[in-house]
Amino acid sequence: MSRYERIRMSHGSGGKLTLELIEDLFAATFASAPLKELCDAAVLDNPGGRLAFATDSHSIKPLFFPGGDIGRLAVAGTVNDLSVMGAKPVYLSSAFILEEGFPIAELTKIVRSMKATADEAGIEIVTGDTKVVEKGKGDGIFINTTGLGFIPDGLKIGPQHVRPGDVLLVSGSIGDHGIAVMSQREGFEITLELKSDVAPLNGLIETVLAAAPNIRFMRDVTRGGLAAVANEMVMRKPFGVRIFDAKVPLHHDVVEYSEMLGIDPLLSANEGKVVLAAPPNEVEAALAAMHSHPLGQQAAIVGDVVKKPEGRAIVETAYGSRRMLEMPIEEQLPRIC
Amino acid sequence: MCLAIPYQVIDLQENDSCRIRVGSGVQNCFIGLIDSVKPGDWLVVHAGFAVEKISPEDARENLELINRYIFAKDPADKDAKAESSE
Amino acid sequence: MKNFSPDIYKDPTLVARLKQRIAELAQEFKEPVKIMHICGTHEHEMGRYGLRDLLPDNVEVLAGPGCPVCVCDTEYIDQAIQLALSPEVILTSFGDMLAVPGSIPLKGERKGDVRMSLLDAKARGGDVRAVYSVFDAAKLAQANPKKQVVFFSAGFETTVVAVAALLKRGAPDNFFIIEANYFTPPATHLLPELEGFDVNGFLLPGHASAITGIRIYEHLPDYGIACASAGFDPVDVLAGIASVLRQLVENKPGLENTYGRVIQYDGNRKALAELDEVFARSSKRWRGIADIPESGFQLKGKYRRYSTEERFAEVLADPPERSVNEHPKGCRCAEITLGLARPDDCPVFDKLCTPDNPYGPCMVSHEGTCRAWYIYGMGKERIHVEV
Repeated sequence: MSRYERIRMSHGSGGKLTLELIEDLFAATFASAPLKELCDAAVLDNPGGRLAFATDSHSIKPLFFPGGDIGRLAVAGTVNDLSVMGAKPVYLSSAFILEEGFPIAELTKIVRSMKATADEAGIEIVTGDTKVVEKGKGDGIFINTTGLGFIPDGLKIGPQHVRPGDVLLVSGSIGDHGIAVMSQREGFEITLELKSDVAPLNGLIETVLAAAPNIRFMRDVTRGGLAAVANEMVMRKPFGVRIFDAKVPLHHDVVEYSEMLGIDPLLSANEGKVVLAAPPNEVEAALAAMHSHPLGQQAAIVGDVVKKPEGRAIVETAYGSRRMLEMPIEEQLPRIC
Repeated sequence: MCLAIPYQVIDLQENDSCRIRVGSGVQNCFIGLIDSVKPGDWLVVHAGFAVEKISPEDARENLELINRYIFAKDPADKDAKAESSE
Repeated sequence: MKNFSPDIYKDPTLVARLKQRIAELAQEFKEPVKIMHICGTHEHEMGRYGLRDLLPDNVEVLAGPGCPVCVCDTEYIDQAIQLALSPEVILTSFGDMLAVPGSIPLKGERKGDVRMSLLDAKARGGDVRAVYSVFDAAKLAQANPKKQVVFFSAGFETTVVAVAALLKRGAPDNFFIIEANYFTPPATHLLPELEGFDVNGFLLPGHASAITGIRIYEHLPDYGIACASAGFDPVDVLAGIASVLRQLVENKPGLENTYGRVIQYDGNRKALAELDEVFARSSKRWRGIADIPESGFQLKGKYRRYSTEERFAEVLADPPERSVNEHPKGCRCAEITLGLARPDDCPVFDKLCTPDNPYGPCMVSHEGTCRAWYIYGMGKERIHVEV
């Protein structure tokens, strides 16, 4: 592998260079037993219980951004998708689509970041794949990860379990990832205190579920922000959700840059925050549990589940006025109006 | 199409521009349409350029107008604004 | 300046007091009071802060022709699309304009009378980029000397002065603009003359007026319309509304500046001088409304070399097939823009026309009336919450 500085088509050919890349970089870095055996499929232990299974593909510009990179994003994204179903994530696959000419030094950094994030989450990367596309046919690197997790008995999590009177909590500040990445895009390139919040949430969620086992709904906040999660929770349901916008924790850079770019922070992306609905008698326990975890220091109550309006998410402002909270439609673009 | 926000000037730069503080970051702002900008001034910024400068007197008068004139029930109080701005 | 704090204009206590004051003033009226704003940013901020929800039932705030995206002539949008599809061109635009349908039919892709937007041009390989400012577009031209960089210069007087300032100081040779800038005041002459126009007060634009001043609106009170120029924070918007109501209660419609920290009576003279040097005023088509004399900006003299109409005359002489109707069938954007209809009067609103499949421009722009109604739920009854 060290013979080359950049990815060649042969790295995806299935031949010698592919094998070198797998052995010297992927298997050596990820260091899981199944991967080292270089078989066609990983053979895994089954701890029992119901399975949760999730997949996610990742592309992002820029590949390295304040607070993370595409590798950390690829691992955390799938870990979080499993965790919000109440599952304990255990195994992960990682498939790369690389563009010819992609610097191997950058690939190495990304792979190491994936390993570090996997270690942080306590999950093993056990199988993978590599393909190379011609120069100009890819955006440097795309990563798909697929994860397996096991769900402990007794958990009932999902929008169907939500009831009016339930309380909505978030684990921390909203919109961090979206604004941090936007600050690095072409034409901006500003240095901010704000970092992307990309992080695996399984530890935080496990802590919360131990303290508040009857959590009714959980969703990690990703594209579409808090607005998307709130709308997904109540869509076609006989209840609605009300967000108190003054209670939503926001980093001051998110406030300032949302204002400048004319975008709504409630629609800006996160990659390391969870929204959950708790029954009234477990709100305090859930909040305390989040506060006890490093990733939940700024956790807050931000809203409640209401009987009406049905199927809609609304915002109640600091002025006592109300408005609908839209289901995000397109990527947020800087606006001057 | 007129989103514009007040920001404070950090320092002056070449080519009719200055740096303004936005959150923990710094942005460039074109000031070719504004006279005598100094560090510490407040500018109303729209799409990368300053539309106006907010003077301390205008800011005070603006708030007084809202506080006194708008709230006053007696129309005669309208004169209060003129007096107080002298 | 230590004694200026922008946050005071978002202060909930001041907002509560203004709300109460407006309620008191509103009691003086037996008939409903209609106030029209003519700046899309007022629409957006009212929606975002739910300010209509703070007004008494007999005070209605309507949106006038203040959304540059909504009134932009289809010819400019079609021109932008045509240029974006030329391989030599990088088309730059404010994000607001990207999804606006022009008049080039887009057949067989989505349901209804769908027209092409710049996003459709991008999906067909056009190099279309959203920029935050005209200065960023000029930088892009400098960085790409082998390309022709076109800036879709949409917007009102606030936006056009930056273009004037840039061109006056010299822009790269490969930088051109589509002259789609509009001037608000002439449209306000038109409004009170319209049949069925029934408005008691105007909230005058905030930042457009910072450039032009408000002397040019002195004719409006002659129609019996009370006017207040207003800023955009919740306190500013409510102060403007309170000012209009109070003028009406006193039966003295006038012209009041409730945004004096930013608007000077005669505007920003330096900006106006640069504007005059670079641009002449010309007649412009307001989409679906009318050709309004003196209501647009056109490059003049030596600055015409920056016009796409000069540089790309040959390409533009061979335009793509265009629909004859400015708005798609059924769309009532024109009347909605003039305050003569409400979005829920429109037959396609919330049916064929939604933000994910916008039919008319008012559903595209963040400050378009239809979109604001759709996403903030203003067409519905007041949002009733039952716990």
